[in-house]
Parts: sequence; C-alpha cells; structure tokens
Amino acid sequence: MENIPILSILIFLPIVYALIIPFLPDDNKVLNTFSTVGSGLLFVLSALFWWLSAGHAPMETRAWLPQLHINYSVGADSLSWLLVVLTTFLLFMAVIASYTSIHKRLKLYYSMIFVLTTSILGVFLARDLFLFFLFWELELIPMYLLIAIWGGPRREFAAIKFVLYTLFGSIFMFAAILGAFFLAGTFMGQNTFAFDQLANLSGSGVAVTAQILLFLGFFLAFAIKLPMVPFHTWLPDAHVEAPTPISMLLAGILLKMGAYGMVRFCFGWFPQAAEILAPYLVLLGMINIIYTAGVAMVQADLKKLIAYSSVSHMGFVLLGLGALNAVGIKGAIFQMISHGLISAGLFMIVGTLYNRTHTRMIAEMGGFGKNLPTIYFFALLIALASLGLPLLAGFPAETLVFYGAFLSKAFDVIPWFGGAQLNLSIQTLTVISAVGVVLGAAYLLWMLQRVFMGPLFPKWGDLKDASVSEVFVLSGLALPILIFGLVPGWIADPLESVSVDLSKPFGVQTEAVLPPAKPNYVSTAALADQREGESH
Amino acid sequence: MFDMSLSQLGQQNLIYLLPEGILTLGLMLVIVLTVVSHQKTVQENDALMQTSLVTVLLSLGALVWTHVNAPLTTAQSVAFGSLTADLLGVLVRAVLLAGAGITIAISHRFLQQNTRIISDFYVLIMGATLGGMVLTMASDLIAVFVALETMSITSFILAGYLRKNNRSAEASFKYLIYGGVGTAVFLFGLSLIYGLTGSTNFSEIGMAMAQYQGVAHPTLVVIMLMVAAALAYKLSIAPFHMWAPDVYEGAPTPVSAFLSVVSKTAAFAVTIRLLVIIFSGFAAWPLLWGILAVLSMTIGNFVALKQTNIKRLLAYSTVAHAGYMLLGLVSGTTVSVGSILFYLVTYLFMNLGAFASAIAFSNMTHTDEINAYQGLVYKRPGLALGLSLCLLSLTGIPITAGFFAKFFLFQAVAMSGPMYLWLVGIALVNSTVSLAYYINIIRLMVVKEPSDAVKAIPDAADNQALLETTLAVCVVMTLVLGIFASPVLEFSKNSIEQLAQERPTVVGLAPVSK
Repeated sequence: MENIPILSILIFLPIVYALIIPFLPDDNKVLNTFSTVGSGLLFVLSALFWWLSAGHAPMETRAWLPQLHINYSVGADSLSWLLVVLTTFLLFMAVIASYTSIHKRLKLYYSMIFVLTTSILGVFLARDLFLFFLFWELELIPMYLLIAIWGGPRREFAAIKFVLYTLFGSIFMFAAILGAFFLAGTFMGQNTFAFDQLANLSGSGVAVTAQILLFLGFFLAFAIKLPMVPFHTWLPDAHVEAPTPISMLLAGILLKMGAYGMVRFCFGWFPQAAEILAPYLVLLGMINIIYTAGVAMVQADLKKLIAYSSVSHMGFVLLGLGALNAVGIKGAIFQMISHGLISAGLFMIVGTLYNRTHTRMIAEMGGFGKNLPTIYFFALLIALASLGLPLLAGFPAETLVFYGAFLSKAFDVIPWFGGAQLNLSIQTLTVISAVGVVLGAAYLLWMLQRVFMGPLFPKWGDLKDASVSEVFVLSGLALPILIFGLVPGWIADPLESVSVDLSKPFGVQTEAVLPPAKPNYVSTAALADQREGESH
Repeated sequence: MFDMSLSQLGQQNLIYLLPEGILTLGLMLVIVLTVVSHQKTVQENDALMQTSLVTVLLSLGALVWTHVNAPLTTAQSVAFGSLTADLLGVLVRAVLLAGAGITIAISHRFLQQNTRIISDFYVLIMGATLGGMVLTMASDLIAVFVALETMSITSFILAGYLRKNNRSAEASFKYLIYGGVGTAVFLFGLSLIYGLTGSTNFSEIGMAMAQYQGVAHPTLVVIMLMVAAALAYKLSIAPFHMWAPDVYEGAPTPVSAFLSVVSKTAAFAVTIRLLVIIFSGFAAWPLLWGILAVLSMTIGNFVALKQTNIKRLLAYSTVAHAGYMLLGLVSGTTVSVGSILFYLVTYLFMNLGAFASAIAFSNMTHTDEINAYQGLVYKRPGLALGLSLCLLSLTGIPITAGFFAKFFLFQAVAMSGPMYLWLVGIALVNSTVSLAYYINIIRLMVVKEPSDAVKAIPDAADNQALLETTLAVCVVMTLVLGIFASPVLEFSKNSIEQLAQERPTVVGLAPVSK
C-alpha cells in the first residue's frame, strides 16, 4: 500500500479518461456509460484509498526541476481527503445529471469535465506551491469551454468573465508565491515551494508586514474564487449561463478551491497575519452573508436566486475562519462540505425544472408540487437543509460556525483607518450574520412557495415528474445531506486534528471546547448560548 | 595574420564550425541542383526540398556531434577570435537549425500553391539561417555586422518572395527600408565603439569599456542608444516594431514564421552577448531595456486585441513576447538571462506551431482572417486542437511549456531584486490581457458553428502530411517541454554562467539571487 502512488493515480486517472474518450464511438449512450463508470470508479477509488490510508497521511515526492527547487509533491490530510471525496462524488453526480441536460458534442464535454477534475484534485492534493499554481491555472480552460459551449444565451460573456476574474486573482497569488519562495530563502536558508517547509515561514522571523502582504496576495485570489463581495459578480453570470452539471461542479467544488486555499495558506501559514486581519475577514463574511442574502431575496430568476444564496452561504466560511478557534475553523470546513452537497442539489433542482419548462423565471412557475411531487420532495428537503434545519447537513456546519464565532475572543473592536476603531466585536458581527439565516429561510421558503405551491399554470399541465436518472442524482445528493445532518461526527471527527492544529497559533481559544464527536454533536447548551447572545 | 601557416589554421578550432560548413555545402548543392533541373517538376521540387531539409538536419546532427565529442567546458576562440564557440552558441544554433528545418517542412505545400519557383526559397532560408548561426557565435564587430547583413538581406528577399503578390512586394520593400535605416544606425554605433576603444574584438572592447563604468559621457549614451535601437528593430521591440505587422502580414506565411523565430532568436543571442561582454557595467542599459520591454509588451498586447488577421495578430504577439523576454535582460542575472534561453526554446515550438496551423488553414481555405476559423473543430479537430494548444502555450496556461517558460522567467526577474517587481507586475497584467485575444481564436474554432470558409473544406484528406507531422511535433514539444524542462534549464544556466566567465573584467554578472 505504501508503495502505490495512490494520490497520483487519483489525480491522473481523469486525464487518462479524457485521452480515451476521443477514441470512443461518437454515440451518446456509449459516452454517457463510459463517463459514468469512469467517474464512479474514481469515486470508489478515492473513498477506498482514504479508508486504506487511514492513520497516516500519504505523501509522494519526486524531484522534478531541481534547478528551481520545484518538486512533484502530493499529499493528503483529512481536509484534502474530504474535499477529494466530495469532488469525485459530485463529479459522479454531475455526470449522471448530464444525461438529461447535455445532448451535443459529448466527447468534448466529457473530456473537458475530466481535465477539470484532474486540475481540481491536483489543487486539493498538491504539496508544492508551483504544482498547486499549475493545477489552479489548469482549471481555467476546461471551465471556460464548458460554460461557453454548453451554456445559456450569454454563455460566452459569462465564460470569459469567469476566466478573466480568476486570472486577475492569479496575478496576486503568483506574487505571493514568489514572495513566499523568496522569504523562505532569506529566513530559512533554502528557497522552497514545499508546503511543509513554508508552513514554518511565520516562525522564522519574517516581518509581520511581509506576512500580511503574502496573506493578502493569496487571499485576494481565493476571495475571488470563494467568491467574496465585492469580487463575486462573475459568479451569478457564470451560474446562470452554465449548464446544470457544470453549475453543480462550480458551486459544489470550484468555490471550495478558494475556501481550501484560505484555510491551507492564509490561515495555515500566516497565523500572525490572520490574527491581525481576522476582524476584517469577519466583517467581510458578515457583509457576504447579509448582502447577498438580500440580493437573493429580490431575484426574479430562480437560478440567480440559488447562485446568490450560494455566495451568501460561503460567507459562513469567512466567519468561521475569522473566529480563529478550533470550533469555528471546523465549522468553516464543515460548511464547505455541506454547502458543496446542498448547493449542487439546489442547482440540480433548478436544472430539472428548466429542462421541463425552459424558463428560469419564478413568475412563470407555480404549483409544480401538484404534478412534480418527487422533485418537490427533494426541493423541499434540500432547501430546508440550506436554510439550516436541524438534522440536515446545513445545520451542524452553521451551528459550529456560530458557536465558534460567538465564543471567540478574536476581537472586541475593529481597528479602522487613522487610529479610529469600529465598535463591533465578533459577537456583534456574529449576531448580525445570524440574521442571514433568517433571510435565507425567508427567500428559500418564499421561493418554494412561489414555485411549488399555488395554482398550476395551464401550460405546465403535462409536465412529467423526475426521470430515473434525476431521482438518482437527487437522492444521491439528499442522502449524504441527511446522513451528515444526523451524524455530523462523520465529517467533524476527521477534521478534529486539522482544525485544532490550525487554531493552535492563535491565542484566542474558546474556553469551552466542544466534546469530540457524539451523535448529538451540537449540544443544546451551545444553542442556548447562542440564543442568549442574540437576545442581548 | 597573413603569414598564417597550416598549423595556425589547425589551432583555430574550426571543428566548431562543422554545422556551418555542412549548411554551406548543402546550400551550394541545392543551388547547383536548381540550375541543373530546368523542368521544375513537382518531383524535382520535392527532391530539392528534401535535400534542403536533410542538410539542415545533418547540420543539426553535426552540432550535436561536435557538442558530444568536443565538449565546451570553457569557451573556445574560433577563427582568430572573430567567433566564439560556447554553450550559448550551441543552444541557440540548435534552436535556429530546428527553426529552419520546421520552416522548410511547413512551407513546401504553401509554396506549391502560391508560386512556381520553389527551390530558391530553401536556399534563402538556409542562407539566412547561416547568417543567424554566425551572428550567434560572433565576438567581433565586423563578424557581427557581416552575419547580421547576411541574415537581413536574405530575409528581405524572402519577404518579397511571392513576386506577383503586391502585399508581398510591399512587405519586402518596407522591410528593406526599415532594415537599411537600422543597419545604418547600428553601423554608426559600432563605429563609435571602435573609435572609443580602438578594437573590434568583444573582449578587448569589454576591457576598454570597463574603465567607463559609472561614467555618463554623451558618447556612451549615444552608443548605447544606437546599438539598442538597431537591436530593438531586429527583435521587433516597440517602438521599433512598426515594420513587423506589415511585413508579417504581407510576406509569405512561412517567412513570417521564420522571421518571428529564427531571426529573433539570433538577435537575442547577439544582444545577450553584447550585454554580458560589453555593456554589463552600465546602469543606463537595463533602464533603457526596461522601458522598451514595458512599451513592447503593452503595445503588442493591446494592439493585438483589435486584430482581425491571424498573421497580424501573431506579429503583435511576437512584439509582446519579445517584451517579456527582454525582462530577463533587464534584471541581468545569470538565472534571468538563462530563463530567456528556455523561453526561446519554448517559443520556437509554440510560435512555429501556431504559424504552421495558420499555414495549414490558409492552404485549405486561402484566407488568414480570424473569423474564418469559426467552427474549425468540426472539420479538422486535430488542427483546431493543435492551434489551441499552441495559443494556450503563448498565453501561459498550464500544462503547456509556455506556462513554465513564463513562470521561470518572471520568477527569475522578480528574484533579482525588489526594483524589478513592478516590471513583473506589468508583465503579469499583460499576460492576462493576452488571454483575451488568444482565447478568442480558440472560442471561434471550438465554440462557434462552422464559417463558410470552413464548410468549404473538403472532407477528404489534405495531402499535406509533412506539414501535419511538423505541426504535431511542435505541439508535442509544446506539451512536454515544460514537464521535462530540467535538461534545457540546466543547459541554459550553464551557457550563461560560461558566458559570464568570458567577460574580460574582474566583475562578474550581478550576483545570482539565492
């Protein structure tokens, strides 16, 4: 087991698929089957490899370009594994969702999907900064084509906007990468791109100012990807134009690349900078949650509504990270996973409706509960998970975030320009953010009401309920949402060591550390605390 | 010097000129064969093309053979000091010969379609390559000038090769006028150098110039401006790039390809040599090149955004790429100059790949308009894929070699010192801008439905196997060169380190950043 390059197999298997696909017969059925089996195998392999490598973190390092201190280095800890399995799972779901939504040029489509998968897996598994950057940039072109060819009417504009935004962020990441490389040479005597060495950078005497600059360089690239207000405008465009499976991948995984980068680099490597910048992150997170929730409220386009709700929920990641304690960080990572499942599910719902009605305008919908009961059922389940109903996956994530943030001592005031300060403690910001949950409930329930209840338009009288493949995808997404809502420990436990390690450098631990993993993971006491805080 | 004996000749390391010798012999052979074959049948033309191609490949083989059998652990003086054989020369001449070989391979079908007289073309290509190779090795002002003129004059004729085509004639004439002015300015600069130092030999000049370090004498400024202007013209650096778009558009496409790679690579080699041996101590030199680099990449990229003809677009793209590469000269460390060499190797394959695709496309459709590329993927998926990969490489998207080349270069420049960070920042913004016009072509080819020109392409095979094979080689090299960059990087680094030792003064290059 030790000698098998499991991580490289996972990363490069999709590329192998992409190279096989052009030689398959040009028959949609064959291509669908091949891709389903291929992505299913990838999912099974990733889960199997995680299970087999339990207890040790696999790592593969080979010299690559020694002149420039670049190694081919991949590795996985539980954070990486979680995201890798989420990726392969959502890929599997997206491939099956493609049956009903993609009908033309399937060869190119599946090739691009698999190239995209390689780049995403590479991002999550790279342990060398050069390699990470390579995979990060590799994702651009497949995603561009996937939106530009199979998307909606304004697809080409949306695709190029997505690429240019990401590339703009890359400039800053590139600068930060070179900065880290250079500082490693100056302060540790060895220019390096290796993660495990760069992780020691902050303790090697690098000036805090330099750390803040590097933090910001990385942060800007990841904030665009996350996306964070005000860099989020590419996302509604991209989502609205992208076909359903691509929206699922975009919301489910691609946004997590930004969140992952923040956790791994910004917080993992530059804790001193993180500590200084945490107030602003929480403030930005709060704005993200409230502002985009408000924007979602007024959308007439169902897919735009879901897109803004997706941005809103990514704000909880910022909030949780800004809490600087193990619970908050764990909540942020948990939110990445549950958001991945829930937003993919919501986009699938939108896709199934669009396939039937060819409209996304909420005003043209109504009463679908009558003739689309299966879709209604899943829509209800996933929307309730999204608004944070207990026993579904959204609840433990948001609760952990709120719990961590509310008990955090990260800051009491926010230093502002010119020596002034904003009199906002993290508790205040958390309470304001909690309003976002209420807003989320409002726009999601209102959406459900307008789309699925009320009188049915006569023209939608003969719509057919979900097909077998759609039911498969929807139940495939609903099941983990339910499971992780019932047993949050299955995600939270593996993250215990990661989040504790990440929070170690910060001197603002919560005094009350949650007991490790029980089925009733989020104690009622925590909730009571929170409610108490809100009522203050 | 006139009473040289045979033994003296034996000491002149002529073995290092073996590739040039083979190329010269082959060139003459092709001339003779051209004269012998009056008929100019298709078969005869094919045979002449094959002879030329074999000559270039033999020359390349000889270069490798000499490098293996007479390794250059230190730089060797060749032919009474007028030339220098060193690793830089080996690497750059390999690029030139590969570029010439690719040009010959991609031009044959194009020539068959557009002109009756084909064989002279190969003679001229080989002549220009020979000039470029000597230029690369030259370490004497006279040799530099003679080699530069050999390369230039053959290029002027090449640009006007399609005699009945007005655009081609115009291109040739424009190139000639610009070239004439460039030559005059260069010669003026060289004469001032000779007047100042009393020598035409690089190392003697370098030694004499070392005493002027830190001196801001007007003569020195004039010398630098003149030499830089002439080189910038040859490198098609803005604002001396005006000729490039017109010439690239009007000249036969294979000639544009040749000029953009071979001519430019040779000019870079001589620029690097001049920089390291003669001008390295002068603070104004990097400043001057820094300004030119920023101008070049900005003008090149922003003007390219508006182009509708693929040859003009590629012309502006070469202007922009020359700007990126200049950054390596500006910071001037061994690593950053070495990165230029890696960039040049990458550029050889990605740019010639792009030009080869443009030739293949115009052979089928007789147009160079970018809009005509719409929907190419439906008719010729291989060609569309090849061109897309070359364009992605020019943008700097992984996993292509262009990504590695840009990363290495920008990294090396940024590591050279904080004052270069701004340059890297500008280069990165430019790089982002360039994506817009490169990806536009990919968008047209892959996303759009076929244009009328593409619809008119017959479904049958194209009978341009040689061109397609060459394109495939370029694309494969573009794909794998980055991943297997290590040997090329090592060679580049060694070449520049060796060149730094050739410097006559005690001061080496600026210290390499650790």
